Amino acid sequence: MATLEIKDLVVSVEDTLILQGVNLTVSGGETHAIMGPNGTGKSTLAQIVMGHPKFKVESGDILLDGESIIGLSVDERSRRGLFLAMQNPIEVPGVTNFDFVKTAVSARLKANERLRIGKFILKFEDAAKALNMGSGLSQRYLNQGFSGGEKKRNEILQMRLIQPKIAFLDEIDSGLDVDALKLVGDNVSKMKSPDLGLVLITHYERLLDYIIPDQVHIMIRGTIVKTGGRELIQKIDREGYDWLKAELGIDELEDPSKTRQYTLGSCATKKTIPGLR
Amino acid sequence: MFLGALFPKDASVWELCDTPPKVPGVKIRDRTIAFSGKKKKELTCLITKEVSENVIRFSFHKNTQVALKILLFDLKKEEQLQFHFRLGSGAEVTVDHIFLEPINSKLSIERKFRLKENARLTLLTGVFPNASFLCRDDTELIGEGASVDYLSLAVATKKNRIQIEETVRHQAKQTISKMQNFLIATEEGLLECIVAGVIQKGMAQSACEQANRGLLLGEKSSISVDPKLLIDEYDVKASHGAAIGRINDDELFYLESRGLDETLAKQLIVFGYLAPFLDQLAHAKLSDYLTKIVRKQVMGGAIDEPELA
Repeated sequence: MATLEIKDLVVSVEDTLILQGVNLTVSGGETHAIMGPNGTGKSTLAQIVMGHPKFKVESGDILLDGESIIGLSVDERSRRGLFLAMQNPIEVPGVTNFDFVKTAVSARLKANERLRIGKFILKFEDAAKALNMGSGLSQRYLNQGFSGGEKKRNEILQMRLIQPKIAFLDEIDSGLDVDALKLVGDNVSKMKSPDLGLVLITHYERLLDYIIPDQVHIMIRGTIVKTGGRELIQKIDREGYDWLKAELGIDELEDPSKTRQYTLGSCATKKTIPGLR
Repeated sequence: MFLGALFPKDASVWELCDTPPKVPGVKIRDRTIAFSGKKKKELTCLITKEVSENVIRFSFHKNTQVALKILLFDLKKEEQLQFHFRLGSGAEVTVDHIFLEPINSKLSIERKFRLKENARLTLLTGVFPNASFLCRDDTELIGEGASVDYLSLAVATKKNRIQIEETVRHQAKQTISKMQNFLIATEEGLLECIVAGVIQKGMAQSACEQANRGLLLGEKSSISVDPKLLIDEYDVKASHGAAIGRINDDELFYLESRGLDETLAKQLIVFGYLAPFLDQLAHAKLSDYLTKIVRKQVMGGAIDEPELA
């Protein structure tokens, strides 16, 4: 059973702080949901865990099974068991879906292991069928010409075959109609096991009707400000996030990372004018 | 020689310096290779250092159906080599024209295509000379309903400069041209491509489509594309465009996030880019051979065979 620990993680991009001290622990068998308003760092968190090079870790650590993965490359993190189902899966023309997934699965094999191609074909077909992806999926180019829903289902298909230990699903519900959402939800729920820890990033309650989370975290301004159970989802669905901002005394305009300082005159005194940017 | 393995000598393969084989429907007269007959023919022509002509003519008679592969390699000539292709009415011709190393840097190629009514030309051009190189094309669609489908792949390596100039002139009504160029520049390679579609006044219901994609793989490599449409007629369909860039970080991140290392991820992206060209080569062994050539030129010889497991 794997454990991912995110400790006091501070992350920047182009000198702007995006994550400001995130703490989160996810173990195999657990399902966590991260919710929050737009632009609060939810997707950044998933991408930095996966090792996206555009972000810089300023401080803090990410541990997988007790070992820091900050210095590992993206592919090494993946081979160690991390997975990110992306919000906007990339199209790669000329590379067939089947070849890509086969290569990804093979990349995890040990030196003395060999992929049993017959078995793999059957698994691929089963997964495609379960996700209602159609028979021509294997020979279609990776995500090219896929509808928004097909791209999201294709992420789940990859996850099924790659079998990660900890998976982040970043807005996997966007672009899905009601039937597809149920299909994806059912497929992910069936994958739940002590060997898989799940982190769902979403704006909406509806995904969490199908994939029941154990814990719900609310992220505002780059940090987790509240953790609770399912009651949080219902409250957010009814009332949005204003109640929480009021409860925590959060005012968007007071965000120190977004407020620039202006010098008044030429003396050595600097004064911050609230609200000015 | 590799080509021996690719194309065992048989009735459909000859080197231009040879006496051509006796193939029904193929005649050589006054340095012109003429094709006739409705029965579809598949032929391969190898052009090497021993070619003595400066102008090589291919003439396809009315309603002829031919799939022709022309491979140029090991050319020591230091001057212009011209190819003239004439397609008679209703001729359906596919030409795979491949330029392989070694080719003299001072050699330039000029190709002229002339298509009569309802003639159809599918032209696949592969430019892998590993040297500086100029290829200038001029296509005239002189018969109503004539069409040309033009797909090129060029790789500029080291400090080499590759210049490609393509002009299609629509000189009859209802003529169609489709031009696609895939361009790759590695190391300090320089690739310049000028594409022009000319539709004269009165050539109504013609269509001219241009698409150019450039992939920069070297820090100091450069690609420039100048896609032009010169149109003097209202009743036409025309489009042109060019996209040039490096491998996208997000694409790499996506592939690497599935466990593929950077080298393999880059190779997949590059070969995905090449797929439209390689998929059209009907000859499997030639396709494999060109894949290896491109792999060596694009990814460097030190890299192991990239293999999808």
